[in-house]
Amino acid sequence: MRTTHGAHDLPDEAEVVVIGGGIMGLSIAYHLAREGAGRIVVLERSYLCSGASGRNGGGVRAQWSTERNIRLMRESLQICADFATTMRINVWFRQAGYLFLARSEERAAQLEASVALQRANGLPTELIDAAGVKKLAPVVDTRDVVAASYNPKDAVVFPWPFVWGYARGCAEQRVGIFPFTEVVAIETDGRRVTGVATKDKRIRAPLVINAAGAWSPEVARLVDIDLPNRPHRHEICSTEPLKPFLRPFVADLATGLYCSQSMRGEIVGGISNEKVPSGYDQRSSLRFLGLYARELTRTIPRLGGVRVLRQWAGFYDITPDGNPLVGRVDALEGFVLACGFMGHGFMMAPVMGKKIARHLLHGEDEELFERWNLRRYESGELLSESMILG
Amino acid sequence: MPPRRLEELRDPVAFTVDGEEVLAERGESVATALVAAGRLLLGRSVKYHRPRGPACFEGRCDGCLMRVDGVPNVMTCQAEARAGMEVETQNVLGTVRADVLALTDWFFPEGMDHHHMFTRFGPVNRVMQKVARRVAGVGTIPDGARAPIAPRDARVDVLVIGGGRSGLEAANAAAREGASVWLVEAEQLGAAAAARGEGVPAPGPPVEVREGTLAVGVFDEVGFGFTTGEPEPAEPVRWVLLEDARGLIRLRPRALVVATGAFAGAEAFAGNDRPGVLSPRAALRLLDAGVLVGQRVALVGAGPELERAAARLKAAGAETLGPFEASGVDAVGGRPSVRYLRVGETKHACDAVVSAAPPTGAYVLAGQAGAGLRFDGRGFLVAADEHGRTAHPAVFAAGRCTGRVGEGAARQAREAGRGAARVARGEVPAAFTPERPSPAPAERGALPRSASDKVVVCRCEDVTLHELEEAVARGHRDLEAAKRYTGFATGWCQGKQCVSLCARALAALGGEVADAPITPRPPLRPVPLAELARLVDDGEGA
Ligand SMILES: Cc1cc2nc3c(=O)[nH]c(=O)nc-3n(C[C@H](O)[C@H](O)[C@H](O)COP(=O)(O)OP(=O)(O)OC[C@H]3O[C@@H](n4cnc5c(N)ncnc54)[C@H](O)[C@@H]3O)c2cc1C
Ligand code: FES
Repeated sequence: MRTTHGAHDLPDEAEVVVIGGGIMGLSIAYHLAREGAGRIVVLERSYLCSGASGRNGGGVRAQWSTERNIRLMRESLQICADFATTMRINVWFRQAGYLFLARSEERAAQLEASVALQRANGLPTELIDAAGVKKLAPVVDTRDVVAASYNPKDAVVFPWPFVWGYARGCAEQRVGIFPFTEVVAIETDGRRVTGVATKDKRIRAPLVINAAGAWSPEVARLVDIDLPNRPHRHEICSTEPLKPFLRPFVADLATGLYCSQSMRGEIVGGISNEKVPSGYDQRSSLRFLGLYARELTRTIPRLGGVRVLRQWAGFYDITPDGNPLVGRVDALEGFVLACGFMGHGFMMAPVMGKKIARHLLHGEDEELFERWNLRRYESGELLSESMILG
Repeated sequence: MPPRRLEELRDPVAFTVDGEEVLAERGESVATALVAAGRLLLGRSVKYHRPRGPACFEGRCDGCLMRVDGVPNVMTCQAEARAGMEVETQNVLGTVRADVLALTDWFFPEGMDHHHMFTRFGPVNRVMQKVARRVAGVGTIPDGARAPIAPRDARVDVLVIGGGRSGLEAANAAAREGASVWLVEAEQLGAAAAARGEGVPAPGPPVEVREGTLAVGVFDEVGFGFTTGEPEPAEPVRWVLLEDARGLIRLRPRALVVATGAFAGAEAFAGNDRPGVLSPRAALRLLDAGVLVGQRVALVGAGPELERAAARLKAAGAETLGPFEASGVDAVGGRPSVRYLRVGETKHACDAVVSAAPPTGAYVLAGQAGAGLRFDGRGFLVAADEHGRTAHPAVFAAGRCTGRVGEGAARQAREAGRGAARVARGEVPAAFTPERPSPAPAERGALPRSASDKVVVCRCEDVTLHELEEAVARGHRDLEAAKRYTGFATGWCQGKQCVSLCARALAALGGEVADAPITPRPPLRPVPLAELARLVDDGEGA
């Protein structure tokens, strides 16, 4: 089945226009269609998978430090586990757990607090010692490991088929997906949205959803709305494929190092790097390679002789308080945000797509959408989350 | 004398392959010694466990990957054979000749769409995923740790990449303008030109020539590499990462001339990935080492390198067949390596196939450096004008990587060298904006008809023509989308070997080919983590 269309098929009118064909936009469109929202159009500037959704590490975990995130991500994990059979596409969901290493007493104490909260919310997370780490991941050098947390239910997926799966699910419900179609203007009538324009076509619509990820501030600027989120280049790389030797996803919050062995056998991972050019520079850097290689070979010394095959970059969509920007915008009726998902929007999308759709159509989850609304930046009531990687 | 050696061994060294002893001439590569010993089957491919053998002898394909002294996936065409070395075949369940997992090849005769396999029932899906995971990967993790190696640092006015005729012309021209010049060449000066029977000019005295040095990437960096207390500019600074036998060099040139030439890509016919199918340059390299790849060699394609390979094979006593047109070849077959080439009903017996695909420009580094690229209907090239200027003011390109040959290329190279020297002095050159060419219509060419064996369009990842067709049918019609769906260009060669062929095939299948290839990402050739681990200082944090 053909999932995408050429620009000549663009309709004149729709109930909903989604800007951005990343995982978030597609998940929202899919759930809106299932809830019977009428004619929906997804407009994507480039090819599907061109944004962060096609560039990420595929990590899906419920180990978080706030109750809200723990619960949301537990639900997402379940959706991911069933995705292959419900959406008929293999996403190579591999549930081997996330292993967070702590190499100082201070970090260990932080992990301990998170573990307690996670257990209180029904997760089987455990705080383990160096010997426990050795058992789970024998290749890890545990000499300076003070403690670690491990939730066997956390998982990794292969990101691309997720995007294609939602795209096909959308197409089956007659959602029009238009790659290589950029939104260049959003049309308004006073304080309400009336539609969008591409280079050569206008589409009337009462509801326009900004799911443009790291580019969402640019999209909001089309209607003179200033969003607080900013792009931050995040790099990642992949080694040659090796026979399986590493089961869990390994992460270290102190350096921001993370890695996992993909279904194909490659070690895929990244690390925090604060010194990056501002704006939308998606090129690769040596500094990243150096930081990553140094920490990775310290953590798994036997990888020293393993070669990096390719490196690439994408954007984290960073908000000042580390929490997303979702829901209706007070200043402009019919304009909805679904952005600001930091470096974990991939795992958020399955559950948030559903929640956003139901919220828009049925008014569900008022409390969550109140907390994550843009207006918190005016009211000054910010939130926090400490288990953010990279 | 071993079956394929032309001369007696003078200074033999002995090593083992899966425990069996093999003799090599001192100084030659492991893969060369194995071919000389009559072994073309060196391992198994990643997905279908198809037999693999060396195909390019330029470190550009997956054909010669083996485990060497406990290190997986060593490109044995680039690794010198040493006494006592332990070499092992990889990705094998059983023996390399009788690999049980080769059943997958038989089970999926045209290839498979793994995205939609076994998605009907949860339990079946889970079992399939477990099995898939178990058999993934090629090679096993190294036995031991490898200590980090510190990089070296250098600065220069002009860096010329590529030691062919264009690179030398450019380097000499830049040096005559008074610039300090480095010229790096992955192998030896003029190695590629020699394969065409051409010579190259000598380097002028002020040029620092570095043979055996590969440029692995071009990076524009902020906050990197300034370790000696000097002030760090806020703007990105350009570094070129070089690799030689001692490790990495971080070089900061003021201007760059890319003269990386062209190489034979791949050609589509059934069985095109069999051990024993190799490029003309590979056959010539082997002859240079005194090794004859086969006694009866079938030739496919055309061009000066093929003609030269044919002449030298004949002179060395081999019989040659053809040349055949690639689109007329119905199959190449034989186990474990080539035994015949079939055209229609006629099977031509042979023990090697030398296949010359249309040359494809070595565009990756220029692309990383910010030069524009273009598709000429057969392959990708660097977009440069007759003065060697590209879309980036400090990047020049010349010669075959831009599609120019002969005197035109030499003139372009001299201009490029002078231009780079001027940029290094701080002069701002007149801008060159390559007009965004409407993509050249791809030469649709005839793709092979229904075939008796897989037509492999990307050998590193075992992607077949049929899989590419499936991707297009499902709407993954452009190069980036089809790459992600099928996985081509994501293997060891990162697409150097396959992108041009995939682009041609995509066009022939009704997909869309823009004027740009997939994003050329670093590194050019896989680099060990140990060499990268000291690129930033020990104390430096995120
Ligand atoms: C290297 C890296 C690793 C990561 N690792 C993880 C991880 O392990 N786990 C995890 O959960 N998350 C991870 N993330 C984060 C995750 O990938 C993102 O949060 C998520 O993909 C965001 O999805 P999105 O749909 O909001 O944005 P995107 O996928 O970026 O989609 C936005 C789309 O909007 C399009 N667009 C922009 N402007 C316009 C316009 N004007 N008109 C039309 N279209 C437009 C863009 O082309 C783009 O395709 C990682 C991110 C990166 C970069
Ligand atoms: S042939 Fe090497 S990646 Fe395709």
